[in-house]
Amino acid sequence: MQEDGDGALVQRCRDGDRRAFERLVTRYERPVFNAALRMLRNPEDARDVAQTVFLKVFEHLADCDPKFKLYSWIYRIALNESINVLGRRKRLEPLGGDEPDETPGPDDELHGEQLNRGIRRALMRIKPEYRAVIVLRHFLECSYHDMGGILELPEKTVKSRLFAARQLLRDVLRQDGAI
Amino acid sequence: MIDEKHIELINAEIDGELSSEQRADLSGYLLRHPEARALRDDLQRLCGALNRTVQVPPPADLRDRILGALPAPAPRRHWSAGSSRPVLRYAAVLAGGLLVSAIAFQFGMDGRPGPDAAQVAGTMADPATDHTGAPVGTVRIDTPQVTGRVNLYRAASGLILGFDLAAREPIEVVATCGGREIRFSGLGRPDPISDHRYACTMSGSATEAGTVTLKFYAGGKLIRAEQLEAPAG
Repeated sequence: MQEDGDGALVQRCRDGDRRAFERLVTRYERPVFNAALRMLRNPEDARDVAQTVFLKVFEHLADCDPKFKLYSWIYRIALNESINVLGRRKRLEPLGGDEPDETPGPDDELHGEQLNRGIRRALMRIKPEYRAVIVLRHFLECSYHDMGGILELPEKTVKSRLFAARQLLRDVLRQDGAI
Repeated sequence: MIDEKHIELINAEIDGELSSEQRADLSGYLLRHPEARALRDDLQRLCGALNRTVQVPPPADLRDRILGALPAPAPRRHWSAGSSRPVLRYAAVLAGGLLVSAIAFQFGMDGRPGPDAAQVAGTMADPATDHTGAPVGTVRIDTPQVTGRVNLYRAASGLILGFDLAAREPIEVVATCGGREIRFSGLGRPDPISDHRYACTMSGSATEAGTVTLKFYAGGKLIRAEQLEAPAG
């Protein structure tokens, strides 16, 4: 339905309709939380990031460029906030302790727990900019075009970064004997 | 060593973006280069696992936390229908369909049934214009049921309580001053109306210096109690 589109909801939010904003939260809380969870591997931090993301969205909806896809903007904020948390965490834990793992998801039982756990661990051992492209492409199912918009990078750069990220993940998984 | 071109083709194959010509090129290359074949097989397995990853549900309280943390709605400049008289403005707003169900009991009327919203002429104030000075007190509310603030102003007509609230369910507020009560029912109804701004003038002896206690109820349960200090006028 047209009225359910992001653009219409944004307009209603701008008119002060909080129920429209609640619908946007309902629509995007899951991908935003999951993006943060994959970036941070800590459910508490992911929840805090998701909350911050939506508060920022609420505060800046009036500045949102209607030509820009809303979800791209939301995902960009989510990644930036996650990277900020990683930066703070790095300052506090220079050696990088064992972050708490998230609750095993249904994918663990369905598709091999060892590989999935290995992937989650390996993700934390590659740089955040590589992790971000993996999250966008494989967990949020973004196109290269969207990824370019979110990361503000040319599509070609996005591709080469993703290819490098996949190979880095593969190398870590091989080192761990998970693949 | 796998060359860049064929690394790109391996990834393009994984992404399903390989043309038939590129596929033929890659097939020949993989036959000649076992390390490229191993990379392709590993990446296919890795990306397959990544793509099958199921999103976990967000915490059950996430939405409430987000909505509960939103700032109060910004004041609207044109809240009233344009009349300069508060009573008429309030009536105009009612006629406009806001259907605010706030019921005010004037100070000095405790123990008696209060008039309905249409009859409380003189007690309802325009939240936008009837108090132009700075508030003499403010309480901020941030609960899962209601967020926003209540300001206390001093005006010539007495003390004015200005409610600027966004509620997710009907809220009842009981304001007590000098042992007397004003009760507001139905503040912040869960309807599409987003601008829940109300004001009420408290006139009479109770407007001398003292403490105004505000109790917020949702579903009959006390969810928050606050105090505002009212200086002498």
